[in-house]
Amino acid sequence: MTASTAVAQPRTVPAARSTRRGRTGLGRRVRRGYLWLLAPAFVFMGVFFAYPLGYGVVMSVTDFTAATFISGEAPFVGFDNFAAVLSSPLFAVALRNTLLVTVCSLAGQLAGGMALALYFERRFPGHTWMPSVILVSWLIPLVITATTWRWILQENGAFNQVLGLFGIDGPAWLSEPSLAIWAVIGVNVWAGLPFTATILSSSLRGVPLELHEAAVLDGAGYWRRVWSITLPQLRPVISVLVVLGIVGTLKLLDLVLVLTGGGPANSTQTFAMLSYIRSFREFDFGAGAALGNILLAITVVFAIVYTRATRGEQRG
Amino acid sequence: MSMLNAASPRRAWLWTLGGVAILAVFLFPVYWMVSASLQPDVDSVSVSWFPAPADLGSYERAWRTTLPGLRNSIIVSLGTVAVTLFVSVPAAFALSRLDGRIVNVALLAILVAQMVPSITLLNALYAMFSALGILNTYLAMILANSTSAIPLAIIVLRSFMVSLDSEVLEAAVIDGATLWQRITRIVLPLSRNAVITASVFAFIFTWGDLLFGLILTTQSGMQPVVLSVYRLLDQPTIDWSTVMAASFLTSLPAIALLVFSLRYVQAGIGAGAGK
Repeated sequence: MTASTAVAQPRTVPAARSTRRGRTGLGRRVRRGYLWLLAPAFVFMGVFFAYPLGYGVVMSVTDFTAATFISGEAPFVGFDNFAAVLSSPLFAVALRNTLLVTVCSLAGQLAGGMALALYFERRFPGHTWMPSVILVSWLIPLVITATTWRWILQENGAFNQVLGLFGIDGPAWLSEPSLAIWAVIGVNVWAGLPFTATILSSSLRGVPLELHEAAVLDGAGYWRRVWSITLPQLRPVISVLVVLGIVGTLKLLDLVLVLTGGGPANSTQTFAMLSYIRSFREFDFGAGAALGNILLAITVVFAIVYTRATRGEQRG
Repeated sequence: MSMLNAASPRRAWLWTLGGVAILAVFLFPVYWMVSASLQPDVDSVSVSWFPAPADLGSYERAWRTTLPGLRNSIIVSLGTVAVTLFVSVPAAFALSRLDGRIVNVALLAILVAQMVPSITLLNALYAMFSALGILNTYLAMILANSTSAIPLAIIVLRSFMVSLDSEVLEAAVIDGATLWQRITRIVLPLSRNAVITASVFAFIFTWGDLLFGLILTTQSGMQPVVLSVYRLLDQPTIDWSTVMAASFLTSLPAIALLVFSLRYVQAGIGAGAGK
């Protein structure tokens, strides 16, 4: 760092040139050089990302099965795959579960993360190092977290043993069709909380102290200040967390795969799970691709609607 | 925040106690994993809350089951880091120097790329790799993981590189350095923290990935370590001691890497966040 700045200092000529031209007036030759630097990324993402995405759309309107890999033939079937997928009773289950998991996880992670951030904002012995220890649970790969929870949540598992201390006879969380989805949500919230809390806590430090002091002088209590000062000040961060949360949870797959495998009795199927099962267990790639594209469409719509909504709020 | 949030000394200990309870909620599964891994042949009923005396037998079994997976995961994760950096560093540098429409379009494309669910991509990627005959290869997994690592890497790197002094770079132009020399000799050393951050993210995401491995490998000798843990759950009776030991062995490299690189990652993120 120091070495290269030292080299640069005596050269006033290029400095003067750069200020005259500014950042908008890159020479055409320089500009072309930079465009070349984009080429590897453009080619790589074009070949291994954009092309498969487009090909996925093609697959979703063809009868693409395991036989296709041998014969190379995938007859065009129009929207048959979409019709088949939409009319399947599992579609409604997956739709309900995907939305339920997304909304509840988001609410749980934001509320819980905010609570944790506010808790550790207090001054008490341990308030500085405790939050970093919590992050340890976030460092464990999600699949491993899910594996551990799958065991803890068994009927005679550790969670129910703890409940037993309070005289509660807990059920088999992951094999009860009405409960399993809530267990999935619970584990997902648990897994996401450390990250959310850390982001919120670092943003809390950015809220100007004067705002709080002025409010105290006006006689505002703690919760009033949280509601009227802290939350509005954190709105941009919360917006980002909401988008990340929606986009991240809509595609939830590995957690479900490990915890329940979509069961019991299909009660924890999500869109991503269904797409995986149709393609890679039933080898109906056309239907799997159709589901994958519906999921992608929902994700993009969510993201656009939310971004528009918050932008409108900020203007108004 | 000093005066406003100071708990009164007498009640401060209650807050600490609450803090300990919160820690317990978050650390319990980790403790449970380690504790169970140190007890031989446990199931939910026979497991005790403390591993005394500790028994390393399950680690021996877990080590034998996960060793090929650990090797595969190291190769695939390092390969993904290499491909990701090779593609992202030049692109991020260009996007930090260029301006106008092209930058906005590129950033929007990156944003959308991050939204695409892996499963949507994988349907076609599987067909494509199958046609190319590269299923069950490291190459397939490295390429697939790179598609999800590259967008984030470009964002992390670019947000740091925007702050690089253009005078230094233009001085190098005058000295006759080629674009490639400027990147390897000036941009890379100056962006060390951001490069390390992007690499750590790419490595850890690849390390923890289940889906790409699950779909792109069918031979057990090629599967990444996370997948070998998942396969242990497929058995009719699950040997939880071994599963927990294997889980711990799988978590360790990711944790170690992050702990050792934390200093650089914090600096890398901090510099990016300032922009």
